[in-house]
Amino acid sequence: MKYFFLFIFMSSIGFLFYKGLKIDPSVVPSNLIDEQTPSFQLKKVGKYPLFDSIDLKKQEIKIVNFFATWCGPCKVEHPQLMKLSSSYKIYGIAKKDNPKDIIKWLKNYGNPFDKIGLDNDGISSIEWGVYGLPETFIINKDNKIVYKHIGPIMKNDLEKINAILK
Amino acid sequence: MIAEIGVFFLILTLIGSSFGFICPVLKFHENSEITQIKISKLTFFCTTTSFVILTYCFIISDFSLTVIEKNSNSQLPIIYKITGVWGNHEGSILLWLLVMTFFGFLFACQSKIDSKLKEKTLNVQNTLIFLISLFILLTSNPFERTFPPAIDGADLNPLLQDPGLIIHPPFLYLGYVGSSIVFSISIAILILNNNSKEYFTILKPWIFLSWTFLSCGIGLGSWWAYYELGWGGFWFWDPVENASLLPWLTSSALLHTIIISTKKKSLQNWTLFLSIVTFLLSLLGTFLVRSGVLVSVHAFANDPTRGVFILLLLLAISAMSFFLFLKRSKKFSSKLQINLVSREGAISLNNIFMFTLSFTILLGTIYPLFSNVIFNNKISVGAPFFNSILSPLMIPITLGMMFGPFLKWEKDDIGNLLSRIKILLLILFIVSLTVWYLNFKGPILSVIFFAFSAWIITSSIFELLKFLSFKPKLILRKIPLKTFSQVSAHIGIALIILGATGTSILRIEQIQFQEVNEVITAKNFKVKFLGIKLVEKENYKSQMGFFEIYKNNKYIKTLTPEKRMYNSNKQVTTEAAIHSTIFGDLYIAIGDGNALKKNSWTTRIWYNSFTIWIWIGVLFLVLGGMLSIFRFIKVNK
Repeated sequence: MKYFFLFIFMSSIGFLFYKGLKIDPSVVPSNLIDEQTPSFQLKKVGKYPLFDSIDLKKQEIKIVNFFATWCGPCKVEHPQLMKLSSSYKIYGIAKKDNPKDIIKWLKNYGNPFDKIGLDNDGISSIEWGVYGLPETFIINKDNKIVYKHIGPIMKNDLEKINAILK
Repeated sequence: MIAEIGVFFLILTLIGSSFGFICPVLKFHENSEITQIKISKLTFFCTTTSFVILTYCFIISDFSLTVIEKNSNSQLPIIYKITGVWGNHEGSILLWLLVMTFFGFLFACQSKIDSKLKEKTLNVQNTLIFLISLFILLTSNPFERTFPPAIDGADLNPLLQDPGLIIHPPFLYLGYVGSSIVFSISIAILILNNNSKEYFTILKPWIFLSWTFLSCGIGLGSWWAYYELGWGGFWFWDPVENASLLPWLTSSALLHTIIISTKKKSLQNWTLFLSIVTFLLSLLGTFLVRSGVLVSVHAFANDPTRGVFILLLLLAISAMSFFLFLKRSKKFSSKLQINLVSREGAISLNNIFMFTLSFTILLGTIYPLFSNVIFNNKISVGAPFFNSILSPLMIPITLGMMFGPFLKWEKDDIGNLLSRIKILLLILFIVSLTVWYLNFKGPILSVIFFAFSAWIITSSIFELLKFLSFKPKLILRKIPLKTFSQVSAHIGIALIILGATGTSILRIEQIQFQEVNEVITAKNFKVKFLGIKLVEKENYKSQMGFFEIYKNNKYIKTLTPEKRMYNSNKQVTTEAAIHSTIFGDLYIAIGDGNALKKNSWTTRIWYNSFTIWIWIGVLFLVLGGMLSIFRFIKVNK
């Protein structure tokens, strides 16, 4: 009997570890995937059109990008956003930023955003589960989040992003 | 060409060690003890040669080897070229093998060991060597060539370019893999089905040896993490740290049970079980680290085939050894009743708590993996869980360390014990009041743990006082080495408790944008930021911060924490600057400059109380282990 238990114990441990080998532990999926976009309220930045929840209800694929002018990686990401903006609508949410700095930033580096808003107190970012900058969400025609990209979109990420957008 | 010679010697190790188990099965040789000794010496020689060749290839920067191309660089200082040998998966597994053959060799050279036990032990050890060398040749060959050869290497991970990393892995491996010989002897005892005390006496020094190395290795690793990672802590409950702590805990339990097994012939089956488990936990640790099943700061290049191989190895060795244990353990179970109020009783209780502690830490470490596989649920188990199980279990372990040594063997009486140590109890009471008075405003947990630490130290010193006799005049009788080693190890644990409590509970942490000439106060230190200077070194550029430290308005010294950017792979590392005193460390790390304000930088300033005592505690532990080993050498002469 004791040998039987040993056998059962060893094989279940073996099975669990073997299954574990096939999972990448560093990937943490967002809870928001396949969910409707959360509601949010933003402040207007200069004369740029304000990004609002209603914009996401449009029957098209759109991109929501969280950034800040004080964030170094966001600068690295900017040229890729400019490229994406030629084919898709990108909405920008600036987290805890200064409107003057944002206006300067968009003038200096170009404006990839269709509409933009300022999340001054960071509450909207919490609603979206954003914990680092930049973060980018892809939202489908039914206003559901289909993909979340954490960190800057680099040149070699564009292919993957484009595939998802299609 | 030289690399091919390295592979050749690895293949020789594989073939040589295979005779280790082929010979006894096919009954090739009549005098098989001598055969096994020869095999052990041969495999040690071959592995050493192979290791020396790999080191040579690292020194001459032979970038045609994949492992050197990925983990070294022509600009690297020579010392880090050498330590780069074990700064990667392939090289470190070769170091594993080297240590394993070293222990086989060391055991083979012992003359006073029963020939049957020696033969069987080397048999098992050579089989293990065979399995590891097979693993290296099939999945982790360090001599693999890359084509076309690279012009320069990608560099050694900058975090590993540090003096602490020169000796941390070898010591850790000496401890980790040292448990293989303890395992081999235990399996040999089970195979021979002989419960004589003599066999267990042979097992004893090897347990102390691997335990001492493991303590030293863990201590060095923790010290490295403290000043290199710039997080201000010394222990993070990272899966890999836990993986090294688990065999340490079981082997600490083993240190205590083996005393009973050799003295009383009881708890022998438990001793064997712990020996097996200690080595299996070392293997499990290797599996967890190298397969990438858990997220850890110790990132190695992961390869699923390696993971599967180590898993198979782990399962095969565990299944066979547990099967043997279940089959033979009856012979080693004793009918002798253990009295709870006796030295044996205290050790048994201590064992139960130590084992519970290791089992719970094991569960916490691998639970995220199981939760992911079974419930498809991502969770992480962190410091709060581990701290909450460690704290309550420290109470019985502390009490055991305090009063255990005063209990008599076989049977004692609580009343008797109390009357023997009534002076100690009085002193302990005074000590407790003093601790409470000194730390009156401190958090209650810190008072409790400081008291634990003070209690252990007091009772350990009191134990030594037994050897003082006052009548007719003051004489210090000779204190036996074993008492010295036990007292030293217990004081070591007490000092670690002191340091760990101070560092984690009483820590003062300040993170801010600090402007040039701004003064920040931490505890009784004043820290003035003078500015940042760019410094260029052989293989990195560094932003060096200058901080003047004042205590009671008196200048003490200038600390220079750094942020280094390595030339070859642009990786950034933090080098904290630490001002250590016996009461606490002032710990400074610098971050990025403030983008919105010139001459302002993120600075992190910690005051960690009593941290230095952690390292002194580790020294006491190692001293305790060394004294024991010294005693065995003396007795055996």
